[in-house]
Amino acid sequence: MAGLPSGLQFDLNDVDDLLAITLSDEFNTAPGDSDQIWAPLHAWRALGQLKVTKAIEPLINSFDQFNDDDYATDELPEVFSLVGEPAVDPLVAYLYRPVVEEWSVILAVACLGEIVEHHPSVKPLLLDHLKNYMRSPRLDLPSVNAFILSVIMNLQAVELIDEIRHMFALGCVDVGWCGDLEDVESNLGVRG
Amino acid sequence: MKNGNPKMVGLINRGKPGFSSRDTWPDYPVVYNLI
Repeated sequence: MAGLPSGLQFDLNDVDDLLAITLSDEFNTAPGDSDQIWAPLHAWRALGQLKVTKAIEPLINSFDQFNDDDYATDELPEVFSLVGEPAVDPLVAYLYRPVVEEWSVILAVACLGEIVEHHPSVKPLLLDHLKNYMRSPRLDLPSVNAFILSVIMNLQAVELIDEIRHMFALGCVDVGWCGDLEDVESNLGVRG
Repeated sequence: MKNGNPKMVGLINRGKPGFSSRDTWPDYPVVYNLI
């Protein structure tokens, strides 16, 4: 907890302003050497700390907006991890939306991975969601599908091996991300 | 914010944060577990 500034005692009364700053074109497109360009980052950190469920949908809806923002890629999973289980269902729903940028869906999966890493109690719920998705995966999102398999390998969720094999049989996994079926089976300890 | 919320002005004026570690970034004295 380094560098604590005084006078920034955020509470739920600040949520609307914090969201406005996070999503503001004015701040997100400010000059790179300005203080303003960093305001959205500070704001989404505060929203995460406040564990504001009200911020979940607006933040998810902004994923396309942050497509080329390296800090968003790194930090939004942490923000959603702070929010925790209430963010799981909305993030899973994002897997089924019409896609503008595949990266945005990958970010949603990264957020889910970060949540379950810090909230192990979420694992059964998340695996249930992923099992349903993997039975009818998006064929147009091979990188997303590979990223999902990476999350499953991190969780060592061997119970999804049938769904994993099904996805590879459909040819909808980018093996450059997570390896081929043999690699995944070996990782999960189910290859003879 | 547009009405000059001093907290937001303070946030905006913070500028670039340090990135020595992700573990250090929850650095606001916020009130937890309000909901």
